[in-house]
Amino acid sequence: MKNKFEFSILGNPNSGKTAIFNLLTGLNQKVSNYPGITVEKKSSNIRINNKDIILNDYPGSYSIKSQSIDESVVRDAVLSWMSNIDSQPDGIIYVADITNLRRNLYFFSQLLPLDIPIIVLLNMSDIVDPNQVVDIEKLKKNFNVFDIIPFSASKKYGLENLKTTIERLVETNLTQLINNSLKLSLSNKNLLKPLFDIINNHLKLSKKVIEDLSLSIFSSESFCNKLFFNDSIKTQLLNERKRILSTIDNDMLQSIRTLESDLRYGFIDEVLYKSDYKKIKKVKLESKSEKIDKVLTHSILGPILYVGLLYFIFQSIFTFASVPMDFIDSLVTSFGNNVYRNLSEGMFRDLIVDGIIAGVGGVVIFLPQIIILMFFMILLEDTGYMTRVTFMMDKYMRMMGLHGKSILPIMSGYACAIPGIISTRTIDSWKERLVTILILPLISCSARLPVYVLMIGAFIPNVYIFNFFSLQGLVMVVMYFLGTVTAFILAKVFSKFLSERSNPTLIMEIPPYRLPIIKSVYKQLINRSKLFLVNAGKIIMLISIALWFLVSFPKTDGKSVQISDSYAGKIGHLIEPVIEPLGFDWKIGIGLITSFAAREVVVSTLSTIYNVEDDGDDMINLKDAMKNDINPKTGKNVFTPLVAVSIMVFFVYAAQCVATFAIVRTETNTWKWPMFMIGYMTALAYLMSYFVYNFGLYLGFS
Amino acid sequence: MKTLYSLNIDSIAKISHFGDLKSMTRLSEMGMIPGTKVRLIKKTPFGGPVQVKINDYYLILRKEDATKIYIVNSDEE
Repeated sequence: MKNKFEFSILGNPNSGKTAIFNLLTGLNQKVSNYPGITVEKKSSNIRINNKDIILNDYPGSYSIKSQSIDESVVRDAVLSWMSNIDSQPDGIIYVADITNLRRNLYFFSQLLPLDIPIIVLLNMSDIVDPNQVVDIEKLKKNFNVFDIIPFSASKKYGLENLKTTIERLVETNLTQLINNSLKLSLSNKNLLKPLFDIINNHLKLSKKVIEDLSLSIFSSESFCNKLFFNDSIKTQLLNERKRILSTIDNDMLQSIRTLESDLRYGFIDEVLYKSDYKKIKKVKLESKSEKIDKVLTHSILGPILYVGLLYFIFQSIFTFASVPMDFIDSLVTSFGNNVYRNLSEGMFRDLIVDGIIAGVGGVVIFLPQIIILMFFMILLEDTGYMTRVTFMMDKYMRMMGLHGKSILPIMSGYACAIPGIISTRTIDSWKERLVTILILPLISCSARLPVYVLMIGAFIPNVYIFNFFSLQGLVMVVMYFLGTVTAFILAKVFSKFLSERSNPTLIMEIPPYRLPIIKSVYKQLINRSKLFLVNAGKIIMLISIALWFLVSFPKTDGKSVQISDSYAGKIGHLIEPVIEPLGFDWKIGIGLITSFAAREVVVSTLSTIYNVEDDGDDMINLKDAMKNDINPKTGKNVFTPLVAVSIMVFFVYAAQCVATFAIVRTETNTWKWPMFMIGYMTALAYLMSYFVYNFGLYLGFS
Repeated sequence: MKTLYSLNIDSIAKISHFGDLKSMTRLSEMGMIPGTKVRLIKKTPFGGPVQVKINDYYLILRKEDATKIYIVNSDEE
């Protein structure tokens, strides 16, 4: 008997699959109250009583007739189970939202003909008691599935029951189980017989599967093209389909077009009726969420509240983070000084203190801001607010050549472009998806935050306008605004000139508002911070070490060199003529090169450069060092408020993060688009920075 | 014939049939099949998407789709 089993978790979007996957595995997958959060299959191994079990978490799907890329992952999986019995999982865990049972059973009804043992979880049982909705025992008998379990992912209710049921399933010999699926009436059987015969003649599939497939093919031409049949069978099927349709008279044709959905819902209603289903709500009833939405998605008030909320979030990043940042700053400095005093003088000490601690510490200090930004983003998604934003902003996004569903990727882009680009998979139209990807890196991500914060903190005076708006906060908002506005303008331009295929619709469920699961919010924050710190630990440390060498060598007389004569200095001087018109000197030039790995590296680079340059014993304060740096050629300050603004503008636009373009390559399947992005972003960065610096000089700034 | 888009806010009607629209498959899979009662909740400005309630859940769809879903008066309020 085998002891390795495979289970697949399937269900509608937003039904709680990922939360259940997390409960079973303990793995910290992102869970959100936004349809389409899982965009690809995720697998994990668990052990239940000495049995090895592979769990696969699939994107949520309303049907095997997929509408977008994330759903087609599910379609392809189910189709492969149909065509090849050996590829079938040992069981399906189907997650159904009990507050919305009938609709949740639609996709379920398409899985039944496979005769794979199914465990149905009636999730959200803490909100609605399943026993008040349906007779679970009867429901189980009428579908003839393996088991049906009331469940609550947020309250962890039903988890033990699920585990023992999985165990029971793998220990039972289940060749006998036959799910009760949709059976066609005689007249429908006759209608579909030509299609049935074509499939039956060519492929060895069960009668149930063929019947189901012929119904699906009859209802949708595009679905037929996605099947595992060879082209000649597909052509036969499509021709036959056309022929059948031509024999039906016009009056009947109307109702024939929704035949599959009619029959499936008819089958579901029949089973539900036999299982004492009680309809819980009526169309005219106003839910609590609907009442809240009277304000939150009000046609005028709604968008104003949304923009106000965004402004509040970005202001608070600056306000709330300053205390923990100063704390980390002093911690890093005193740690560096301690290490300095306790190690004997030599190259090793210089490497540790000036290279690693200064470099990594220079970036770790931005953790509080990233946590605050992430916290707000997670709240907006998990409560269900983001779907409302999609609804409100769809028209405006379309005016800019985008899609309502572009909003979520763009918002995640404020944290990091990479998850944003991946989440564009929920956009069902390729053109709108591509345009979203192309403009996404212009959204200021959290890696730019350290750059903005350093420049603003050091060079923008801490004054208040009208005693209310902090100038520093305002400059920060302006930087975010600059990137965002440019992104929208370019989206419009790109969508005008791109001739990609476009098939945009927006059909989405508006889920009820839900309180975020605190543990899930906490886990996501920890994960995000870990990722940031590991990144700081790996990439930034490596670059810091390499940079320290480049900055400290060649040593001519055994004593430290002038940094300007070091290897790094030479590289910096080499590119200085190119960046001089932007107001940048060679030190910033080195930073621009290192920031190709990741934008925040520029901060650690400057930190390392100034620490090596400083002969004193203690760690220096980066802001002070930058303020006091004098260009020996001109006798003027290297950094001025104008230079700082020019640097920030450059970072708003520049194509710097290698990882982003690697992801774009994967998502678009060609180098054409990443190359295009690097080209336009670099040109934009240079031109905008040039314009800002020279316009500033013209106005009399220095 | 009246379409879903022309329905008054907060009034209820029954879906009669679909005009020629691509998204019919998905709409019907989500439960919008002829005979289903539907209440129009909200329209967004400038011809943006609409929000409706069917059965016991809320959906949003675009104007292009909502103008091709034909409705008849529902017998009950």
